Amino acid sequence: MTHLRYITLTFALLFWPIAIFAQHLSEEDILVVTSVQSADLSLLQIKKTYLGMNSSGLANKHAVTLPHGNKTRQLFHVKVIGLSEARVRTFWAQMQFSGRGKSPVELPTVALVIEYLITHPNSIGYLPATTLLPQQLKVIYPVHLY
Amino acid sequence: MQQPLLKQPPQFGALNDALLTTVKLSAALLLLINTNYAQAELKISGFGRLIGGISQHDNPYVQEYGNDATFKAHSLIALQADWQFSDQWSLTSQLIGRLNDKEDSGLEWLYLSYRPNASTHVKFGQLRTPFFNYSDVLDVGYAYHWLVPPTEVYASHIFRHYDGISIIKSFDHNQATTSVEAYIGSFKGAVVQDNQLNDLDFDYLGGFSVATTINNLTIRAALNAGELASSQPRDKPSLDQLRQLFASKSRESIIDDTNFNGSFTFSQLGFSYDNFDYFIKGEWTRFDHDFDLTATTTSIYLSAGYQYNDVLLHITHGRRRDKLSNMPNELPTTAEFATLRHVYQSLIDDRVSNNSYSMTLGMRWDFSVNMAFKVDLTRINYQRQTPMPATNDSVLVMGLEWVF
Repeated sequence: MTHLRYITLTFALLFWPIAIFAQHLSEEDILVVTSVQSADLSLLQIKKTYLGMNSSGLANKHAVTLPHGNKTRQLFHVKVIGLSEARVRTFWAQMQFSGRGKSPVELPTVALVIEYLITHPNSIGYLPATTLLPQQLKVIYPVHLY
Repeated sequence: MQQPLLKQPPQFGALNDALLTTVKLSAALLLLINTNYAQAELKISGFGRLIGGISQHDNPYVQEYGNDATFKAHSLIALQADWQFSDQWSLTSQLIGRLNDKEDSGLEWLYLSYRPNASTHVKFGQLRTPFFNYSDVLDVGYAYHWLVPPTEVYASHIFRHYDGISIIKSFDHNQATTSVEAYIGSFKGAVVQDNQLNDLDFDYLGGFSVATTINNLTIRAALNAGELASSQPRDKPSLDQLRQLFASKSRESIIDDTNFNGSFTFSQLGFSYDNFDYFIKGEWTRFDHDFDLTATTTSIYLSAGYQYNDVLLHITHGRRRDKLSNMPNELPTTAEFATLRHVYQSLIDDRVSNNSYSMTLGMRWDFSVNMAFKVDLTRINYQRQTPMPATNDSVLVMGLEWVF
């Protein structure tokens, strides 16, 4: 009986962060992810990467985005970029045609985003929180809708 | 000994052709020697504008639209090619075709880009003159909310590109990102001033700008300076004969007054605050120079907008104040000088001063991916203007903007 109590306690201590993490992630939450080989980024650095701002800490980083109309993309723009969809596209046009930066690489599906992130370690992307992450990727910023 | 009537032609003048040739040769060389040529990434993109407008009155001195509706003033189509040779090197070119025959179509941009690290960007070639917040994307209407940026600030006679070199360095400090740009080059070409084509030739021009972004706020300051070698309106006779006449009468000081050469400075302060569904932005500019026949200009605009789903409503107030230098007619009133005095006086009287203020109400509807429909209604008041009398005017402009 004592052993069972120890085993239960050990499991609880080992897995409580995962349990809490899972409890707080809903289908509408988002994970900002990158390759495990890449350094972590702050929220501000993620925003700068998506808005193409020159920054000394973002060596060759580039952003990957899901297509227009995708719900995860809309939420990402609201919660992370802080701009509406239409105005984000305006910013990207400024980046593209001013020579200041590159607009994000747009990929049609979550699977293609994952594949791209694995093969391009300097890229960052966002995925629905329910996505099963391959071991080559890591979460650098979880975005909770509420 | 007779005084030289005009300054010597610019010794710097060959810089234009030399730089472009250098860029073209360098690009070709890069293509040839780059071992990863097969992997060089080529990206083709573009943008277009189809814009029509009409105004209440014909006022050729101050705007491109008149009583008859026209699509010529701002409609265009453009293609941009970006070749990425390596992580550090790329080549960008932009070709523009305009309906407006008073503005040049053809090569708008051609530059080599070198990024030795994430915080440094060096560009060589034909580049945009960084006078304003929106200088780089002035032709890309999709990238801003108006159809026509406030003409008080974004005056058409400000030339849009130059041949030279630009260095941009970025710095991070806590929440702030600062970008410093310095450039030097030259410009030779035609610009539209007061609805007339002028051929300009600059010995050199250069400047620097600082832009800082802290959270949602961006502030930019720029100072540009240059030396104009010559300016000649295409549809007006050269003033050279008149200057020779002044010289023959030993009136060298008047020759200086009628010369379109000398130095200029162009200063700019701008800000932009972008929040989720609204923005406020503004720019102040000042154009100072040595040319007595043209006014110095101080301009400002303030603009605010509110985004509701795909519709953006905005309002802009613009103001421009021109100041003509004191230019007294000091020629003697004797019979010998009667004709000369009359001609000189007409030159003084014909100087244009475009004091104005305007209010624009506009709407942008992003009805499709990468496409927007816009309408701008502008009410302009020309407060004091020579040679045109004071008047009010309304301009309605609408059109499609797209990128691809």
